[in-house]
Amino acid sequence: MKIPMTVSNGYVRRNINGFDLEIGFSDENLILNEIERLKNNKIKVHDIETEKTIEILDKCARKWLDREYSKEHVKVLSKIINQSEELIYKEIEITMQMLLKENVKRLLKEELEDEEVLDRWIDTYYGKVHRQPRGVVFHNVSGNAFVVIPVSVSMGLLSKNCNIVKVSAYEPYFAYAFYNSLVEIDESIKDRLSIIYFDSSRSDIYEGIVKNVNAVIHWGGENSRNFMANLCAKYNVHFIEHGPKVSFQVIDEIDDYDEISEYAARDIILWEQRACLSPRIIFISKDLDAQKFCKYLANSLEKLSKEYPKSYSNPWDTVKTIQDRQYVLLKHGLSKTGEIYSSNNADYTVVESKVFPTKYDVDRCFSRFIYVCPYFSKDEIISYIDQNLIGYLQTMGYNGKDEEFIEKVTLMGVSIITQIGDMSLHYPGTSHDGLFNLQELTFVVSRQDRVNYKFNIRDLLTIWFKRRIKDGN
Amino acid sequence: MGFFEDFKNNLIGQYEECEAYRLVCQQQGFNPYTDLKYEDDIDYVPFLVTTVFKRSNGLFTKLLRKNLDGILKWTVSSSTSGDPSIVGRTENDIQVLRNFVEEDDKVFRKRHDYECTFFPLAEDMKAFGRGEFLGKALESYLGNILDIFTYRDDTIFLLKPSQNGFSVDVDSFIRYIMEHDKKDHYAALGGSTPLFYKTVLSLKEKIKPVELGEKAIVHTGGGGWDGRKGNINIGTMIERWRFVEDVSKFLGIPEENFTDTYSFTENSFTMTGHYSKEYRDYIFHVPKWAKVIIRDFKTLKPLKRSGDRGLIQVLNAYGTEGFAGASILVDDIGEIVDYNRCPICNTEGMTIKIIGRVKGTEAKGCGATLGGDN
Repeated sequence: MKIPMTVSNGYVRRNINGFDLEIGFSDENLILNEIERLKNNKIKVHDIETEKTIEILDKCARKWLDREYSKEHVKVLSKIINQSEELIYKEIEITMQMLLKENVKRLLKEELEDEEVLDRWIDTYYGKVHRQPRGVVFHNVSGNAFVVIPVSVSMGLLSKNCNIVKVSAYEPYFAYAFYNSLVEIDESIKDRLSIIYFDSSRSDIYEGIVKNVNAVIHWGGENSRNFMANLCAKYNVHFIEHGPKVSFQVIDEIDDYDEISEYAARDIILWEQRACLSPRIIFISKDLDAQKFCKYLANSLEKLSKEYPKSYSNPWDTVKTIQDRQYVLLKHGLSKTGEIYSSNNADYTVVESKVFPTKYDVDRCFSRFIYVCPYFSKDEIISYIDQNLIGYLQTMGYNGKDEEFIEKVTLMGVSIITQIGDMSLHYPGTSHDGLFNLQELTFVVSRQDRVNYKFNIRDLLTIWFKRRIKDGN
Repeated sequence: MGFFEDFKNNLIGQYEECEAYRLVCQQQGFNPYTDLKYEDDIDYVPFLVTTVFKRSNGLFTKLLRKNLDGILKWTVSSSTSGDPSIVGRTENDIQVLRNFVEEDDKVFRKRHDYECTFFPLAEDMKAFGRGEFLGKALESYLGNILDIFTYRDDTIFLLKPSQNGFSVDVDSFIRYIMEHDKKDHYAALGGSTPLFYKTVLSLKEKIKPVELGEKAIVHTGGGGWDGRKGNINIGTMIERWRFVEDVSKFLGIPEENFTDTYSFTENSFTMTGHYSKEYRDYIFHVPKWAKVIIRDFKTLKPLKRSGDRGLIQVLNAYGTEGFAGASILVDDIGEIVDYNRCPICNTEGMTIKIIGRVKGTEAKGCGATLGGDN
C-alpha cells in the first residue's frame, strides 16, 4: 500500500507487522519549501473564522463515526498497529467525539473563556484582548496511539496556525487518512495543513525544520523529546511537550467489585496501554480485598477480550507477553511477593504484587498487563512516585475522596484525575499534561486604553517613584 | 522405555527438583502426576520460555535441578543482545548432548575427505569469554557443540582468534575452493551461516565461481539467519533459499547437498534439516528422542496440520538432569511440513521449517518506557 503524504520525493518501503507499506518521504529542501508555502498562507489562515474550522472538524468527526466510511481505514490500521478492528472502532468513537461541534465549543470556552478571542478583539477592563496564532507549527507525532493526531491537528487548526505534521514510521497511515478526510470536506485545508514523513534519524532535517517554524508540538518518547527540546531551546522556538508519560489508578474504596473491575479493565484495554493516559499500575488500599479485586479484574479482562479482542497479527505480542508474564511469575512467586491471574494465552495478565514494580516492570505493562499493588498508607504511593515516576506523571484514575492526597499527587505532577473507567475520556476543556493546548499554540495580545481604574498602573508608578525619592535612591 | 514414559519421568523429576518450574505448573493448574497420563496430555505440559535463562533476569540459578555440586559447567549462548542465556549442565547432560549430536551426524553427515569450516577450533570457541561463576566453569554452548563434532585432523578452521574475537581467514577459504575446483572431491564446507555468506558474497565480486561438484557438501549451523550472531552483524536478514541458491551457484554444489543444524542453548538436542528445492527451504527432522510442538500464536494451542505456523516448543526426555529444560518455548517460529514424515526423503517423524525469530518492538510514543527508549 502506498501512502503518498502531502509532499514527497519518493517512496521508502517498510514492513510493519507483516504489512508492506510504501511511505512517501521528503528531503530537507522539499520540507523547507512546504514550510515556506505554509508561511505564505499565515495571513489568509488567520482570517478564517473559528466557526468555519469548527464546522469542518464536526463534519470530519461525523464521517469517521460512520462505520461505512471508516471501515477501510480501520482494516488498514488494524494491520499496522496490531489492534483488533473492534478495539479501533471504539478508539475512533472516543477520539472523534471530541471533535464534534458541541465538544469543540466546550473546549474553546474552557481553554480560552471566549471562543471569539481567536477571531477578534474582546473587550476587557483595560481595553481589549485577542489571541494570535504562533504561525507555522511543526507537529512531531508518535505512532503509539493515533488519538494524538486528531488532537494535535485540531488544536493546530483551531488556533489558526499553519501546520506541518511529521508522522512516525511505526504508524504512518492515520495522519494522512485524517488529512484526506478534512480535504474532502474543504479543499482549503491544504493551505494550513501538510503531512510529511522523513527518517527520524535525520537530525539535520529536524534542525532545518525547527529553524524555520514558530512552534513545535511534540508527542513521543524521552530521547526524541530531549532532542526536540534542545533544538527548540537553541533556536528559541516555542516547545509544547506531550510525553513520555505514565498513568495509574488508585482505589481507596469499592462498593461493587464487579463494577470497579470492569471500569479498570476498560482503561487497560483501550490503546492496548500504549497511550500516555493508560494505567500501568493499580494501587489498592490494604483495607480492601486485593486478591478478590484481581480475580474480578481478570474476569473483566476476560469478558472484554471477547468484545474487544487482541489482534495477534504479530506474534511478537504473544511472545513478549508470555516472556514478561513468566519472568514476573518467577520473580514474585519465588520470593512470595506476588501472584499472577492470567489467561491461558496472551490475552491478559494481572500481577498482584506486595512490592511496587521496578521501572523495568512498569515497562512490561503494555498489551493488557497490569500490576495491582496493595498500599498501607498513601505515603507509600507518594514515595514510590517520587522515586520512580516524577517527570512522567499524567492521568490518575481515582476512586476515593482523599482531598489531601489529590493535592499531593497533583503537586508532584499528576495533571488530570478522572474516575476509574474514564482515563481515556478526557472531557473537553480538561488540562492536557498540565497545560491548555490552545493557549500554548497562540499568544495573548492586549490593547490597553486609558481607563478610569481606581488602582491603575499609573498610580503604581507614582507610588514607586515617590518611595525611591524618600529612600534617597 | 519409550519417549513418553521417559519424558514423563523427566518432567516429574523437574517438577520435584525445580521450584520455579513447579510454580509455573501450579499457576497453570498442571500436576504431572495426575495430568500427564496419556501421550495426548503432552499438549498441556507447561513450558519455560528461553528468556528466563537470560543473565539479566538473574533467575538461572533458580532453574537448576541440582545443587551446584552436581553441576559440571555453565553453558552460555552467543548472545547478539549482550544478554546471554546461562544454562547449568551436569556431566551427564553434556554426554547426552554428545550422543544426540553424534546420532544426528550419522544420519546427515555424508562422506567428506576434505573439510573447511567457518567455525573456530572448539577449544578456541570455548575459551572465548570463558570464565567462572559460583565455582563452575562458564563456557560457550556453541563451543561445547563444536567439541562434539567429529572434525578431520586436517580440517581447516577459518575462524581464527583475533584481538576483537575472531576473524575469517579468507585466503585459506579461497585456496580451499580453488584446490578442489572441478576435482569432484568429497569436499565439505560449513560453519557459521552469516560469515560463510558474507565471505561468498564478497568473493563473488572478485573471483569467478568454482565447480566443487556433486560430492561436495555444505553443512551450516549455529543460527545467525537474521544476519546476526554474537557480535557478527552482516546488516541484513539471510533468506535461506537465497543463501542456498547463491552459495550453490558460486561453489558449484547441488542445492540438495546443503544441510543446516538448529540448536539453542536451553535445549538438549540438535535438529538437522536438508535443503529441498521443492520447498525452497530446509526440512528439519525432529529426532525420535525428542518432540516438538508448534503452538498457535493466538491461542497457544498445539497445531497439527501441514503448513501451520506457530511458536516452537521442544520437549526433552533426556539431557536436562541439571536444568529445567524438559519443556522449553523458544521465540522462533516454526512451520509444520508434515506431522508424521519427511515428504522429501520419506523418513518417519515430524518435519518442520524454521521460519525465524519473532521480531517486534513497542511503538515509542507518549507512553513512557522508564528503562529508556533507545
